[in-house]
Amino acid sequence: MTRLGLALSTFRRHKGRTLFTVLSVATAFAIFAILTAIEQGLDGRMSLASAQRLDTSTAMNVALPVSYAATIRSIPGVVSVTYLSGFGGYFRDPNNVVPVLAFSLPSVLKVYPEFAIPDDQKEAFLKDRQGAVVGDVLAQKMGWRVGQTIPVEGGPPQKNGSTTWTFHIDGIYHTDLPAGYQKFFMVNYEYFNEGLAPSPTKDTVQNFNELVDDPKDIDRVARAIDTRFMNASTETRTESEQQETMSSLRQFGDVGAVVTYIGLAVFASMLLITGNTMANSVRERMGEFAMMRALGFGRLQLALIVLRESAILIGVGTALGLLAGWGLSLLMESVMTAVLRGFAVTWMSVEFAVALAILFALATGLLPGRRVAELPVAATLRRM
Amino acid sequence: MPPIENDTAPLVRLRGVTKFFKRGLERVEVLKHLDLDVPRGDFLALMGPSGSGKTTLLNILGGIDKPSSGDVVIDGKPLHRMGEGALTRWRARHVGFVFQLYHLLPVLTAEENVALPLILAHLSAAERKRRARAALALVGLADRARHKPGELSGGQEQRVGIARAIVTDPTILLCDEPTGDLDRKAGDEILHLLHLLNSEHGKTIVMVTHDPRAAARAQRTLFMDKGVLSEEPEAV
Repeated sequence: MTRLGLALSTFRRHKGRTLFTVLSVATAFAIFAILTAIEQGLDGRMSLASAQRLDTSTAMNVALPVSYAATIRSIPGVVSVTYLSGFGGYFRDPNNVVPVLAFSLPSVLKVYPEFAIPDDQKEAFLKDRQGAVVGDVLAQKMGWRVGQTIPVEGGPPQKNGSTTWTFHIDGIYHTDLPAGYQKFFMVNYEYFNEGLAPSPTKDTVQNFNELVDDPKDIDRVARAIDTRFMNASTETRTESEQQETMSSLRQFGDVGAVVTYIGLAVFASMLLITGNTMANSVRERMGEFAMMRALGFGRLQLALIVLRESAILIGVGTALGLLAGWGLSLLMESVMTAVLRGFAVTWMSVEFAVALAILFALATGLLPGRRVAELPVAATLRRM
Repeated sequence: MPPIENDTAPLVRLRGVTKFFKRGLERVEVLKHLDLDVPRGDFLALMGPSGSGKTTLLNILGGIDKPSSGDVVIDGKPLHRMGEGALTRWRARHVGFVFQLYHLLPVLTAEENVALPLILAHLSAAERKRRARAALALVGLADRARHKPGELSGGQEQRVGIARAIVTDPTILLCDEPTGDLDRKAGDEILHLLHLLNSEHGKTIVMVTHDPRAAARAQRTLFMDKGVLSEEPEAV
C-alpha cells in the first residue's frame, strides 16, 4: 500500500460516480480541444491573408468598370492590379459545380504568388487565350488532366448564343490558401470578356485586387483608391485582405468571444461536478480520516491525499478529453479546413490544458483537503 | 517533570489530569485531577458508565486529545508539552489504536488495511508487505489477507483492526470497546487475542469496556465515574 495506491483505491468505492465525473472532465477538455482548434483555425485563416493585398469592390457588390484598372494602377504604392469576373457553371451534371474565374493575365500570378503552377504549364496558359489552370482539388474531384478540353455549361450567353464555354486545361495549380481558393477554374479575362454577348456585365469586373509595395502603406493606398473614385459612376470600397477576412469571419459573430464563453461555461459546469464529487467523497469518509489521524497521519498528509485524488480525477479526465478532442479534430479536419485553415489541436493547446487541469485540481481539492486537515479527531471518532 | 528512563518506572504516568469542555457558558469537567500509573506490560481495563470520561482518557493517552491541565508522560515523553506535529509523529510510532467499529477502509484488502500505518514508516514495499503478513498471521488471519472487510465477519474485522494496531510494534495498545460490536464468541476470541498479545508479546494494553467479562481478562480494572478513577466500583 502506497500513498498513490491509497488515493486510487478511493475511486473503487463509487465506480459509477467516478466514471461520470471523469467523463464530465473528459467532455469539458474534449470541447476545449475542439474550441482551441477552431481558434487555431481562425488564426490560421488570418495568417493566410496577405498584409500586402487590397480588395476593391463596391458596398452593394455591383460590377465595376474594367477601365478603373488603369486609374488604380497609377496610384502610388500600387505594384500590380488584377481583376476578375466569372460565373458558376457546371461540368456535365449541375452537381459538378465549376467556379469559373476570369482573371486578368499575367497580373493575377503576380498579385497571387501563392498559386503554384509549374513553369511550362504557366507558359502554356499565358500563350493560350482559351486556356485554363485548375486547382488541384477541383482537378482531382473531376478527374481532369492537363491537355483536356473542358466544356463548362451554365455560363452567361456568348456572342453565338451558347451558354457552354470551352477551355483547354493548360495547367494545374496548388495553393495553401483556404480551401475555396483550391477549387478555382482560372481563365483569361480578355478571352471571357470578348466572348460575352452584349450585356451590362460586359467590360465590368466583380472586384480588383491590388498588390501594395509596403504593408505599412496599405491603409493609405486603400483610402487613395476610394478617394479617386469618390464621385465616379460607381464608388469603390477598398479594404485589406486581412480586414476582409476578419469581416467575413465576423459574419458568424465574434467567433473568438463565442469560443471563450462556451469554454468558460463548460469548465464552470465541470468544476461544479468535480467539486461536488470531491466534497461528497470527503464528507463520506470523515470517520476514516479521523482514524488515519489517530494512526499518525498528519494534517498535511491527509490534505495531500485529498489533493492527489482530485489531481487523479482531473488528470485522467483531462488526458482522455484531450485524446478524444484530438481524435475528433482529425475527423473534422477535412470539413473544417475549408473554412478554418490550420484547424488542429496544437501542443500549445495541450500545454494550456495541462495548466488549466492543475488549476482545476487545486480548485476542487483545496477546500475538501482543508476540511480534512482541520478535522477534530477525537470529536469525529466519537460521532462515528 | 523529568523524563522517566529506568525500567521500573511506569510506562504511563498521569498527574493531576483535568479535562473540561465549554458548552455555551457552562464548563463541563470530564476528567477531574486524575492520577494514574500504568506499568510496562500491564493490561488495564477501564470500566464505567457512558459519559464517565473513559474514552476521553484513552484519547489523551493516545495523544489525539490534550488535557486542559496536568501532566501526561508516556515512556518518558511529556505529551502535555508536545506540539501537534510532534504528537502526531509520536502517535505513529508508539500507539496502536483498536476501535469499537474497527474503522477499516472498505476498498482495501485486509493486508492493505494492516499495512496502512506503515505508509508513514520509511520501509520498502516488500518490508511493508512482510510486516503486514506477519501481523495478520499473529491474529490468525493469514489466509484472509486478500479479503476485503465486507468479506469478513465482525470478529475477523476486529482482528484485522488489531493487526493494524500492532503492525508498527507500538509501545502501547489503546482499545476502545474492542468487543462492543461483537457477539459473545467473537468477543471472547478478541479478548483471548489481546490477552496473548499482553502475556506472550509483552504489550501494554489499556482497554475501555462496559463488559465485566472483558474486564475480567485484564490484569487489573479501574472504574471511572464522573471523571474520577477508582479501584473499586462502589467507591466511585
